[in-house]
Amino acid sequence: MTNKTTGRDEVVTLEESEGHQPTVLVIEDNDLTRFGMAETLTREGYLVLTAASGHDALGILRQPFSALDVVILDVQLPDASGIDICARLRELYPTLPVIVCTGGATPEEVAQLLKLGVHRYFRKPIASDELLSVVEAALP
Amino acid sequence: MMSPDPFNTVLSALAQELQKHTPSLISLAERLTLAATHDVLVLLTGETGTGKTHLARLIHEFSPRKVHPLLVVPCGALSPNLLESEFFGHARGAFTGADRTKIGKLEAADSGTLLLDEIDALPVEAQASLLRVIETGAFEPVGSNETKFCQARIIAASNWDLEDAVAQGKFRQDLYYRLNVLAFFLPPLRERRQDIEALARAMVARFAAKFGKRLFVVSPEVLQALQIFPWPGNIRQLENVLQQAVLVCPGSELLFEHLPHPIRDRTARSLSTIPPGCVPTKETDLIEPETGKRILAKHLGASERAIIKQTLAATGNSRGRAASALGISRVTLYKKMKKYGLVDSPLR
Repeated sequence: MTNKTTGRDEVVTLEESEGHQPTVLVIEDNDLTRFGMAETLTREGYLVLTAASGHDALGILRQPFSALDVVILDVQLPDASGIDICARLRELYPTLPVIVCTGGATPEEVAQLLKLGVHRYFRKPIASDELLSVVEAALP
Repeated sequence: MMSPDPFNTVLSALAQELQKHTPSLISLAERLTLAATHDVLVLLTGETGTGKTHLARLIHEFSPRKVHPLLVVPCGALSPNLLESEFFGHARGAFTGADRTKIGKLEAADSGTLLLDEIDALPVEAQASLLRVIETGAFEPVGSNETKFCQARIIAASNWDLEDAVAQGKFRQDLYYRLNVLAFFLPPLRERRQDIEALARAMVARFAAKFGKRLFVVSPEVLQALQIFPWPGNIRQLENVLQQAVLVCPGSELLFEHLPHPIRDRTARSLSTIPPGCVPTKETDLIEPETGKRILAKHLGASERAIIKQTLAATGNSRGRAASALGISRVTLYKKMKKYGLVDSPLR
């Protein structure tokens, strides 16, 4: 499923990428965190789409150019609550695995997210290899 | 009223800005200047990701309100219950969970600009309240009797034609007329192909800087692939694609192979069915009837055979759909299939 064996700096060539490339949508407003996750996941062979706001995230959810496999959602976005985004996400993709990342969600928020069917969550900051294993575990 | 000189200053600055990244929108420059120099309501319409927020930001930055905040309310992203509270704020104890007063966006925008994004998603009740704000400036926070006044300048953005929404009874006509003072339409990216190169180059440079990569060249194959892709997600999608490509690119030249698979795939499919130099202008998995007719008329023989074969494969061997896609009758299709030995033969 994932291109784990191709090594870090190798470019994915046409022959290797037959079929669907596992796609992750990263919704995170902090630039460094977002790019960090994008780079880690891209190197691993995922196709990474990113959004820095709830608004952009919804735009991508409506028109992803590659079918989404996993969503990583930061619950503390500047323009909309993570719970709202999650709810809208569930409307569009009832079974899409969602991983929530939080700098510190309240227990009530966590409970609500779990009710919405969030796969798992982690607290920021997260190490690269842990991120990769969390994402891989979430893949259908 | 503003004197002509400041108007022209803003006009040339805005025109330059548009010319840099989105030359196809240069015709909007004058009306944009009007929007920036006057406190009128603005309505931006366009598909998702076509740059409405960017345009709103431009208007704000070139207006006297630029020293004040620009706040965005994503009407489509919020649950209807919380939308009221988001707009008007709420008093402490207004409803369960309202344990302190919240300042709504109308108030928080102060003397700045307020962008109401996806206004087509605004529930009917909220539309009535918004109309009142536009007409009188007055509103009350949820659960409070204190009337406040909105000082902000409002810009509305919609993914859909509001006139249609009015006709369907989903949007208030009186609100629509209020919003439709200075209206701008942003065409989808696939109808603005000249912008693709300009935007792409700017994005590649930006991402290269962000990721600390020394990227100097964008190969012509990449630009061609970007021109071919139909971009249903428009500029936002282009940005994601190029971000991915720059992340993956190891050297100083951005090559076709660095583009994500769906883009390469689309290019491969397009180029195999259409003669070189003929870039398709519409998104479809099959050959568009118009294009099909042109091609069939011009390139008979080997090309015709290849096209018929490809179209049949794409339609799952359905002659009816293939014929309609090619813009010819089933009988004609059958005759041609016989001519090229494609009848009753396997498709490989």
